[in-house]
Amino acid sequence: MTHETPSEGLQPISEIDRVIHEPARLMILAHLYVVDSADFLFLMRQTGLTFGNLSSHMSKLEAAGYVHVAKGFAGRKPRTMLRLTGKGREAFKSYRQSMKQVLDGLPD
Amino acid sequence: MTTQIDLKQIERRAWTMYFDDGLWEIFLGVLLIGMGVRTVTDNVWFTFLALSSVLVWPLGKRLVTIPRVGLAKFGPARRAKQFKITVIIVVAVLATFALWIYAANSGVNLPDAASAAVVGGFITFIFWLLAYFLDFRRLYLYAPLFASTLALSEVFEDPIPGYAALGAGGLILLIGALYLLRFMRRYPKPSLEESDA
Repeated sequence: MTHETPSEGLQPISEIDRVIHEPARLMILAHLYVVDSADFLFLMRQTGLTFGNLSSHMSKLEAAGYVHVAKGFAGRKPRTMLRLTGKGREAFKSYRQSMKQVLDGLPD
Repeated sequence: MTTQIDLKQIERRAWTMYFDDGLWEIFLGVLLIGMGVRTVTDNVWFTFLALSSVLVWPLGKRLVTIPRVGLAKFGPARRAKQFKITVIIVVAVLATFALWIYAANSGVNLPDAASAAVVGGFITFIFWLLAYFLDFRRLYLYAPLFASTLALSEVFEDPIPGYAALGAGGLILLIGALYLLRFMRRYPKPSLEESDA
């Protein structure tokens, strides 16, 4: 079986970052992009995701090297702060560019 | 899926969420009520009630807001605005002090109405600057309310300004309390697992 390469017009679609190209992860990254760092609860409130859902997506983003997880304490209470890595910021910017290209290139 | 991810709106919504707790209104309300009671009763101890208002914000954020909506550290653009707010407050306090000294020593005697206009205008201007840099739109409305109660003290003898402050303070405090209740309903306390994450 031969693999068909995407036709020229659809090339950008195949290059879309699939780690980011998932609605929940896209929302998480968009929120982390606009702040310096944030804790879990903040992201839960902003994205509307459940704790389990957010944890699962965070694991994938951390595995991809897009998010840095810093565990610390606020007084005696544990607090986990999350922030985009440099790689994550660049990936998010590239993703936005790619999506713009893909959608601008589609016929009416 | 759309590429229209409005990052400015996302950032603004995240920032303004921290004003939905009504703590600013409670702070201003307690301050005005404290000033009003002090003026009406002519009892200097009620100054401490007014001063206690400064505890509302830090305590409220620590005990109510952050445990319910979490914590975010905003980026350089917001931090720059916060720095400007600090500068505004410092300049406003110094300017008020300087004007007060000048008025006391210059022998200039403005008519009451003009004095009230200067006081009211100055306070409104400072509050509007704060509203702009804090991105806190409700403060635009509270500014003239706050300013007019202070301006009244230039025109009327005590205890009338005191009653005005009580009225305005009560109204703002009530608004703050309603915001706080709505905030607590909208953002219930998270489970132990969620808050310890």
